[in-house]
Amino acid sequence: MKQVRKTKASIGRRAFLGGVAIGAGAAGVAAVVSAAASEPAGAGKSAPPPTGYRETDHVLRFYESASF
Amino acid sequence: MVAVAWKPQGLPEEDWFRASLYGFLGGLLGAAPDEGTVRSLRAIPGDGTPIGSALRDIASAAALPVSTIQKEYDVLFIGLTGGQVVPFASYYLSGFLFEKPLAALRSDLVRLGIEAGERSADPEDHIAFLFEVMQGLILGAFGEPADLQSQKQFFDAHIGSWADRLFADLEAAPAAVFYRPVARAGSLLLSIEMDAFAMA
Repeated sequence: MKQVRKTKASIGRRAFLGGVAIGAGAAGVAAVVSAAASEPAGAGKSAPPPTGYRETDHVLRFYESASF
Repeated sequence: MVAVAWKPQGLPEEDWFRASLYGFLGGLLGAAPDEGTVRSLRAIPGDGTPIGSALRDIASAAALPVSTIQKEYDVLFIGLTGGQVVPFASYYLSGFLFEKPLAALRSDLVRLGIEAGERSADPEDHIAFLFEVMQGLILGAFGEPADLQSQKQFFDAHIGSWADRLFADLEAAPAAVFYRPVARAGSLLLSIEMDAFAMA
């Protein structure tokens, strides 16, 4: 029974997210993210994949300019 | 985001959208956008949802000259002696930078196998870093995608308890023009996530 409840809840969550909360407009930002990622290679691109935090170009630029 | 900017196979669309929003907002909060980014911001369509309307407002605000937006970023987040907002968890939770909340975050990052980049001289509890960790957890940038429970744990421990106050401060900051709808989108994402996690 517990499993059934959990499944129902998870459908509720997905319906909420996909139908009410986050609409197709978010697809627009995914495109911005993808576009930024397909720009000429930054330092991060040649770094070895998986495991470990991978910095975005933005964060790299931030770290270069930050003066906290 | 450099590493994962495509939808991983089998990832539900709503999780891809969540991840995209985290990455998108993390990017805008982590550095002043460059010209190419601002150009793509102008083309974001938005939609009828509250967050879609905030995205549309970001698109309109991106009509400002790129240099104006970049200057605004500096005044808000960097400044000569500090910005108008301090986007670090430790500051909001303890009143100071480099306090216990940062230590707690670091131990969770170790547990999750996430390492801060070598070039990061700044604390990891910056909102941009935390949003990008959420993006990575959802997409599986650090190995397998994290299950919902782990995502919720990370969110509750390091974001949910304070970031809304940062976004309120950012929206009200004297210099905020372009970053006002960014703050609104951030605040909406937080409340959507809280509601959705409660349904999981």
